[in-house]
Amino acid sequence: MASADVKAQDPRIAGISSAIRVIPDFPKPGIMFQDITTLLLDTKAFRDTIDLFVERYKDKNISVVAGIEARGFIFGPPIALAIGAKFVPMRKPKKLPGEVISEEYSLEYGKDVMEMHVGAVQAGERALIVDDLVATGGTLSAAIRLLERVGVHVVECACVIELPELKGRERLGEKPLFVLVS
Amino acid sequence: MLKVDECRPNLTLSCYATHVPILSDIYKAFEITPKITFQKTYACSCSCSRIHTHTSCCFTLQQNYKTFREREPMSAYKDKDARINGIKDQIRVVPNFPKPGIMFQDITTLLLKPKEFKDTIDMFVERYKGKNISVVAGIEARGFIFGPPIALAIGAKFVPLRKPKKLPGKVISEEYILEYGRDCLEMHVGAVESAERALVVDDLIATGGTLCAAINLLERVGAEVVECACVIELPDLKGRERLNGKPLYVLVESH
Repeated sequence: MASADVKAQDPRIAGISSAIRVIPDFPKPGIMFQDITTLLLDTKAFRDTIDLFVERYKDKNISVVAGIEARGFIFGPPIALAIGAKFVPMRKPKKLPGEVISEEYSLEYGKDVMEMHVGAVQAGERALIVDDLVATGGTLSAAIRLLERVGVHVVECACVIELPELKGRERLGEKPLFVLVS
Repeated sequence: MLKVDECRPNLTLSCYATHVPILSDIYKAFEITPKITFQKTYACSCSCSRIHTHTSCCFTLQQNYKTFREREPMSAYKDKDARINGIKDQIRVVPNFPKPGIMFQDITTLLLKPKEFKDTIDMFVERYKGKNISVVAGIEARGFIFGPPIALAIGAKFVPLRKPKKLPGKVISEEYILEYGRDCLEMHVGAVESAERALVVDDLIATGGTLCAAINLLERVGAEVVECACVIELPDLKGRERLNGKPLYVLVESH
């Protein structure tokens, strides 16, 4: 079903949606995993996905695209390159080699940490956060906090897929969320 | 076909059944540095003390020669493309990461410069566009940054090669050796079809172990790995020799 965020009649959405594969019981029983790797095998659908984001953001004076490891690394850089923004990877702990700032966030059981390089972004920059999917919104919230801590204005979060029943949109507070497929 | 004198070092290309000059001599003569897999080695039939290397047939040697003459250099830094210095300057070296003694090549600073990041992608796209490549395989995680923009620009699909248990569907796995212990690289079954032409992309080649595993994964499903492409090479670690004879193209080398 196409998200209400996108022009309802955009003909590219159907092809994108049907290219996503659902894998039951991964990573554990009861979870229907949304697999975007099949979308990446469909050259037209992958290009359409990027184009839909680029069309939305290209004239919005966005200088930073932050992508969340690892599937955000697939969608973020093509968007960044097309809109002339820098790409900033947001990573799991101990992956980034330089000085980092860290943000802890909650998982269903336990916690995790997200890191960003010090100096990657400057106060006052306008940023987009990109990931393949938003579920509970925990990871995206951590990314928003990391960027806002250094004075960046997060304009929007952009994901290919939303799982609306997990209410991630509410967890982002007043930060807008744009998705292609719900 | 050029004639040669037997038993002379700096020979031009010849075609003899039993006496073929060592290909390294041809490299000197024409100043090319290709990589050829030798198939047989014979003692010289004219009883000079040299060992000659003979490919399986002269036609192969001639064909290789033609390919190497037309082939672009394997490394952009030898091309002296004007964009290379800009790219190299944006790569940050972080000492003692992840452990003491290692000078880590950090590409995240390159990603902060839209012009140089775009130049990086453009150089790969210019090389591979029009070469009938239908698959770009990227190695987790930094290969995910460079692979997709290349794939999109050349009209190929992007296939992520991942650490174990990350891919949700049915996978094939390839184990490889690390300095201490082993690791494993996985690819989705059905992502790549037999006879597809593939590129393998990563940010950096060190020992070549990961790239070698990636090549094996693709070849196991019948794909043809056309080339490996990395932003950075650490030539002292000789990764180039570990690629099963596959060519490697890099933009920047670091000693």
